[in-house]
Amino acid sequence: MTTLHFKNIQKYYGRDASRYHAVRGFDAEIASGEFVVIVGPSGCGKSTLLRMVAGLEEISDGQIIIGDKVVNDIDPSRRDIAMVFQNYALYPHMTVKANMAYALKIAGLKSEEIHTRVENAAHILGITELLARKPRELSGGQRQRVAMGRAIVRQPKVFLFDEPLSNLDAKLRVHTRLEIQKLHRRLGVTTLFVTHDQVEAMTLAHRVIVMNAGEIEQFDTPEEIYNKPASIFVAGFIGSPPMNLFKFAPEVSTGKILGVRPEHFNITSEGWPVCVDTVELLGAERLIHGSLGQESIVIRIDSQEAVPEIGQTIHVKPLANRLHWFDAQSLKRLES
Amino acid sequence: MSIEKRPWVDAIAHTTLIIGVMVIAFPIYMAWVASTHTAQAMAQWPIPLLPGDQMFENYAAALSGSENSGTRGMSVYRMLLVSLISALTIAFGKIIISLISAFALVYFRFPFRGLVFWCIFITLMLPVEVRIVPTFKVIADLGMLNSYAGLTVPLIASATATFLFRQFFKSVPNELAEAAKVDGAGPMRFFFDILIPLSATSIAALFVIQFIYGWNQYLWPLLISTKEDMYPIVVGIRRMIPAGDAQTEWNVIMATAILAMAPPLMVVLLMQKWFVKGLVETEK
Repeated sequence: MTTLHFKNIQKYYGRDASRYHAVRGFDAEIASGEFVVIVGPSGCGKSTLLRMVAGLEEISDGQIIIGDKVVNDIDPSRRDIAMVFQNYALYPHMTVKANMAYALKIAGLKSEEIHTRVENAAHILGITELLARKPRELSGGQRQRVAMGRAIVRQPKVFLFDEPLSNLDAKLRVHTRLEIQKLHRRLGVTTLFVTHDQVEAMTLAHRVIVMNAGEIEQFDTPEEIYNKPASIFVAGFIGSPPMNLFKFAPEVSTGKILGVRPEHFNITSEGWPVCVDTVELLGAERLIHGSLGQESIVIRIDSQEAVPEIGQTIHVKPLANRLHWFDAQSLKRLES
Repeated sequence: MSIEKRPWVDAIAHTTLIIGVMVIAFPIYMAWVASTHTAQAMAQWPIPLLPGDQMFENYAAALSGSENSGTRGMSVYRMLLVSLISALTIAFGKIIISLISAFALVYFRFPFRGLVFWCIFITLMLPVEVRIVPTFKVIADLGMLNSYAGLTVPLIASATATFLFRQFFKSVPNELAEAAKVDGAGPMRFFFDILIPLSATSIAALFVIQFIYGWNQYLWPLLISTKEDMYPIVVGIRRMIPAGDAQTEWNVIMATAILAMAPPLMVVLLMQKWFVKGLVETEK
């Protein structure tokens, strides 16, 4: 079992004055066997970070330590990592079996050993009957499995996933998410998973790293991240629809920002007056989009509840124990 | 996109196409007809338009290349062999050199890469015909006249093929190179295990084009080959037509011409399968 340790990682693109600071002092310790998801908007440096672990991107400063080895200057193939790429990166001219065996062949393993490992991995992923096919004869989901198989056969100490689900359709994505979870439980390998999808982050991770502009905004369990966002950014990024943020609502003093999740409102006879702009039905629930003074507000209600009419003014009260306070200057959470 | 069915449009289109085919094919047909008659029949008016009965004799005469066979002592066997070796060397040489240079240009960062690229680009403006005198001087000084090296080396460097492969390599997703890196494949391993198999279709296409290019070389071999045993067939045919009053043995010359046409035609026919395969099985 292997830990993954980031020590003050910096990444610059370009040189001197015009250089771009892509990752700014990234510090994190990932426990052995832990499943950590890095989530953030595009361009936040999350893929760069993953590629630095893989050895596909140079580390400008700091150290990445896998187990007890500093891997900064170690060749990608000797880092004991395996990576699943966004577009799977299967070799188009090789069969599934050859794709999975390629790394082992280069590593100089005996052919019986390669055969057993490939068979095992194929069995785990349920792709045994696809081994003789070429990637172009596979569906997106099958290719995804092969890409995972190629990672598994190497029996790496760390798995790296670079947005592996983004090319799948919605239904398959949910299914594959579960598969990845099961696979991780079965293999127990330390895993770093990069995504821009907060649902993937929340469902898969033991702990989530929320990144923004090359820095860690918060590194915690999904529950903590959802219930105690450390900053305005995390509050707005995690949760769909995102948390409402008010500067001017009643009861909010200047210098503070109040955050309330859409589901944490009660419609009452008195309270904050909200003018209803639109109502969306999502099936089990309804989203009411409205305005509270000059600020917009989203309220989530059960679809069985009475539907307010558009243009009508309703009154809502936030749940008192579900308020999030942030400092308007630092945009950080004010502990409550 | 639908086109209305109008019979007379079809008729005009087909007539045009048939006339086009006839314009192209008729000289070849005439060459074949000429290669099946005696020299006397070809020297009289009107020349025959239907095949005669001398086909085997004429082709045997052309291939044997004896003094009185009409080829003026030149062996068509020998000329075909020279052509084949040169064309193959040129085609493979071009492909190998272009693959390697395109690989370097796309996958490696080295000083003056841009300059190297532009140098290759500029050679597009300098085909053999333009630099033929200095090139001849160099080859002659190197003692490469009347050798396969002299026939092929100056023609091997190819900017066009380098560009073709460069464009192809650029279209190969970068993730493949990265996956290979993570899998532990070094640059050359990546080149041989992944890039070359992926380029198979491009290589086949280029082979056809370059083989025909090499086979059809006329001007350069005309300068560089001064001995009859190093004439490629395209040059050889011209040499078969006597300059003076001697009778031109059109039947044997045409038989040689038909023989000279055969190999490129074969290459096209055989490789066409590859083209189609490559087109159907588009790799992602």
